[in-house]
Amino acid sequence: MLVLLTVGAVPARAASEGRGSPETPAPIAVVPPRLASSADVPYPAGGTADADVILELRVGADGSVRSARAVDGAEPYATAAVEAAYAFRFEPATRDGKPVASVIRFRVTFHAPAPPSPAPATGPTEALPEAAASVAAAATAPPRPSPPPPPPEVEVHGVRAAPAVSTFTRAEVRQLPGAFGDPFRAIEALPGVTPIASGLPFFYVRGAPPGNVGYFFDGVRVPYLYHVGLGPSVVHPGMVDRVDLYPGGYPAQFGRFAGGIVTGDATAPRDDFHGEYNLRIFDAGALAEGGFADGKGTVLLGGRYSYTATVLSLIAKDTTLDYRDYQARVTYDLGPRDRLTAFGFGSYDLLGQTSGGVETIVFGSEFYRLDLRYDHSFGADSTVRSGVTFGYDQTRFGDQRNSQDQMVSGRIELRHRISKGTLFRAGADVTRDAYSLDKYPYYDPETPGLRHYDETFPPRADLAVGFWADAVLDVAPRVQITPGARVDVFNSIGETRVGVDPRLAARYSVTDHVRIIHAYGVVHQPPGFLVPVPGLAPGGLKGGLQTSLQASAGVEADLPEDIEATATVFDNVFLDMSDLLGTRVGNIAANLDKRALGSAVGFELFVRRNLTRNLGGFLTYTLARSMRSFQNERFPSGFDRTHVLNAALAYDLGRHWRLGGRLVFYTGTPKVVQYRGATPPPPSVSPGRDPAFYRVDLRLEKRWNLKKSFWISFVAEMLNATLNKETVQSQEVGPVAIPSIGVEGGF
Amino acid sequence: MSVRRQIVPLSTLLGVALTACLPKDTRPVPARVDVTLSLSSGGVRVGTVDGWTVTLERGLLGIRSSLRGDACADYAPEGYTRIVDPFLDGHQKVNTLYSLGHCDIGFSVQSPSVDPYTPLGEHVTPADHAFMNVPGLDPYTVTSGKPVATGVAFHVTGRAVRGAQTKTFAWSFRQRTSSSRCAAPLDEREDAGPLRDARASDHGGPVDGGDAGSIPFYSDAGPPGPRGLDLTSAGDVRADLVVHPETLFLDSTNLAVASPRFDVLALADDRYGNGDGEVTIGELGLVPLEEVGGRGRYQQPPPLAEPPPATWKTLEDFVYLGLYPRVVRYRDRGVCDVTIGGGR
Repeated sequence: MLVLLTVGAVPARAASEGRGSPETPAPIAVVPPRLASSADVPYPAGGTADADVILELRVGADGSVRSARAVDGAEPYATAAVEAAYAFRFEPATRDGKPVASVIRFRVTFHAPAPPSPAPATGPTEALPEAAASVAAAATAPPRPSPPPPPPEVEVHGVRAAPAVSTFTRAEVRQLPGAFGDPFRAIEALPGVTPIASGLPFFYVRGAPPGNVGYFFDGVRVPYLYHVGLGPSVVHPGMVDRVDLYPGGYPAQFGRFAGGIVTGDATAPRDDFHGEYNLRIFDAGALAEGGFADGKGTVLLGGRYSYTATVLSLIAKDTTLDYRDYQARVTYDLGPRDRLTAFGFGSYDLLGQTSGGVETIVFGSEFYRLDLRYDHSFGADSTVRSGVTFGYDQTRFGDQRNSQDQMVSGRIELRHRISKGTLFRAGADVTRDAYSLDKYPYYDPETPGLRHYDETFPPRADLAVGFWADAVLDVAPRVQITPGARVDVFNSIGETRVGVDPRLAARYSVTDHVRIIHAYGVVHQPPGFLVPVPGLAPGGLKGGLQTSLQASAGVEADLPEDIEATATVFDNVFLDMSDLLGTRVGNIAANLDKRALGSAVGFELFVRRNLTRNLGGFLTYTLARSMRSFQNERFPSGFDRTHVLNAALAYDLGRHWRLGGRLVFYTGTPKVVQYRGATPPPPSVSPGRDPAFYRVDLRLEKRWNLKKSFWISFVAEMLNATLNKETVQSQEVGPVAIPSIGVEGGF
Repeated sequence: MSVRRQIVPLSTLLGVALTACLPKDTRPVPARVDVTLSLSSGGVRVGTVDGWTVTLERGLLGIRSSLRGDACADYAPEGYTRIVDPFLDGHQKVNTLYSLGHCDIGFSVQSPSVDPYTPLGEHVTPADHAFMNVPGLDPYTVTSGKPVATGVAFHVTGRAVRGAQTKTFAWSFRQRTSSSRCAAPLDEREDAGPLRDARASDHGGPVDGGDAGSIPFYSDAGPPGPRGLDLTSAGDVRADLVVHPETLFLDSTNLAVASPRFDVLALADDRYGNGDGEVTIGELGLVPLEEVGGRGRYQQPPPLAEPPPATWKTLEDFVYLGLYPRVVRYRDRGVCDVTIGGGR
């Protein structure tokens, strides 16, 4: 088999510093980088056809590849090309004879193996003559091929980390009506996700409650992803490369959440100065990133600030709504194989109500993270990352007491390609969460709710230690399996529990365009709360760990017109499950550590054509039944919805106008009958249900490209443009609709 | 624009933003309001005008209080229902409330939560709590036109003796009664305001209040003072609720002319019931009001609010809807807007 690497260095545009001043124009002698190493790229498992991948590489002044991403190309070729690119070495670009950083584009051409020799092989790499390239100095910008590409929105073809994962890229989400450009807001549209209520950023994943869904951003655990009051995500969209949802059977790297895992990947550091901004009715945000030290280092700053309070003061003077978030990242390359990163981010939310001249905080929360990491590469697709994370979470509920969590976590992650068909991954981490709770003098100490609260969230220090390992094995030309396991040890208030979680995933390519996917796993988790709340987690392990047994099997198919389709069936079992929302039996406040036996079975369908295409769209559909067993009663989960459907279309109208629409439909949850805070279980068969709900979201964008590298867009968007009301827990709500008009831009 | 020029202002903004963290509780110190419950001076022995001596032997009452209002900053909105024996001497705790501003004070008699942490008063046992939580139906446990099984809000047992005659009773009232916008008796206040009337509503909706010309239920207390409490920072206020058990045996809802009687109640067992010596709530429901009413006794008062309440037809209606909501009174002779959920 021949794998042909084509180096197509495309002219890079010069940054302002490299242009010279008008008063003193001077010719700049620029020499593009040259490939100086072998650049063998293994033919990927699961691939059977010829394919091209265009990579965008940032080459440091020392000739190493600092970052690589695929700007064009299909899977699994794109992943293979990206992973291999980090091992490439170049003679660095020079400017007036001095080595400088540069950004170039590569074309990697894969040729399918010949039938008699199906084993993966590596062929010689041929570097084609480079095109003339102009290379900037420290602040090198991405190259601009001819004809010029669209405005520099972030467009990344995802690196599928594991089977059975659903992914949206930021570029796609920008076109998704109702997501307001926030990648994390697209989660609710993915198969297997059952919303609690329209627009509310908490959801069930394959029957698992919101408190059992883990959120990670760039490998760092965060308590939630969205601001209060149907707000946007807590990370500036410009920093989010893509979002993955692992609904079950996820890689061994992830654990401690017995439901799903939502991860967001941060964009790779770039030393070319770039940024973007947005200005909307309720908030404004900006993000900028640039390099220093001749491209060895990068600095990113971003954030969002809402002026909702000002807007609200005009219509609801007694209400205060405020949110903001911040991100800062500094990277520095100690050498071609070593990078230090400091990444800090945080979020703040406040919802207040003024009565009698005194403002009361209805809900306030904040969290901050500082992640310090060291990355070392010791070969092609072989890396080790060690890091330490500091976190501070705080929340205030109606009783006006602040609860806090001071978190410190250390981790090490190893990734090593043992052979062409064997990738080994392993890691370990330890996390200490120190929870505290303010005293509150203005409360009747006999209040039952207060006593339950104090008992459920006592001040203490929880410890979790975990070890994990898995291996991605190409056991046959068309078969890839990923066995793995993780072990977690939990300690809280003198109780210690151990969770042993085996995992197994498999991908079998039936044909060039059809693959069968399996994913199985066991996950353990300490008791969860209603929804993820910063600084609040139930203490103690007397009720044991939650355990989920997850199984899924599906088929992926590449259809004509670049349409991808995935059909999956799943069957999850939850033991000792803490799901206060779903197990709505008895008195909730009196038993915040209520445990139940849960199950969820269903069918998921995901058909998509990239939303960034002239005509793109997707359809997701979930047919599911989620049951609970509690105290000899078996009944549907409180948020069991039989049908959940999302359908979206985005169309390029021409002249940079783009129109999108999205339909969200789901059937109702079992009806609720309450009695003094206690709820009898609904019938196990054919329970009465609240009415179904649907809404239509719309999005219209007009974009202007200014000069060579600036763009600006006018975006009008409306969630629930049909102004439909929803019945939540047998009470009619709404209509909850969110309009948004604003401008976005970048450079 | 250089990187530095871009980064510096962003850094400044970031620094400013990071200084704003979730504040601690910065509200002013509120006033503390201790709501208590006590037995009226009449005690648990009631002498009726028709010669009976009624003795209340045991009572269980679910009660909670609250402070509300647009100008009221309630520091602890999450309240609770306490179960008390209402026939004990002395002042029993109901709740401790913390608020600031002008607050309407109110209370409700209702079945307690099933929460095991439900506070229990003196001589109240977990078995009493369990008894109060057993759901049941009566003609008045109706919500939105549908019967809803409810626990017990007020349970009273006792006996009535006249000569050789003895009648016992054990009555459970399940429907919640709410008394809101309470006002102290005028003679307890220096700043007497305009007369505002209050009366029961058996149609479940709030009572808007009457005017000076309407029939006051608490006419024996004179005109009430202004509603609510003016609570200042660090203030210490005590609000006492007073149990009047004799109310259950009155022959009129107009307290100015009402007298305690038992003959009609005994008749419910002797003539309309099974004659076993126990007067049950159900037997009261067998007694048509038109057969025992007249001359101002056992009559439904004229409506004060629209829509008018359903017509009372039986003695059970009269006791349940007319008398039971007035067993507990604010500051003994205070006035409140009284509502009772549901109705026949």
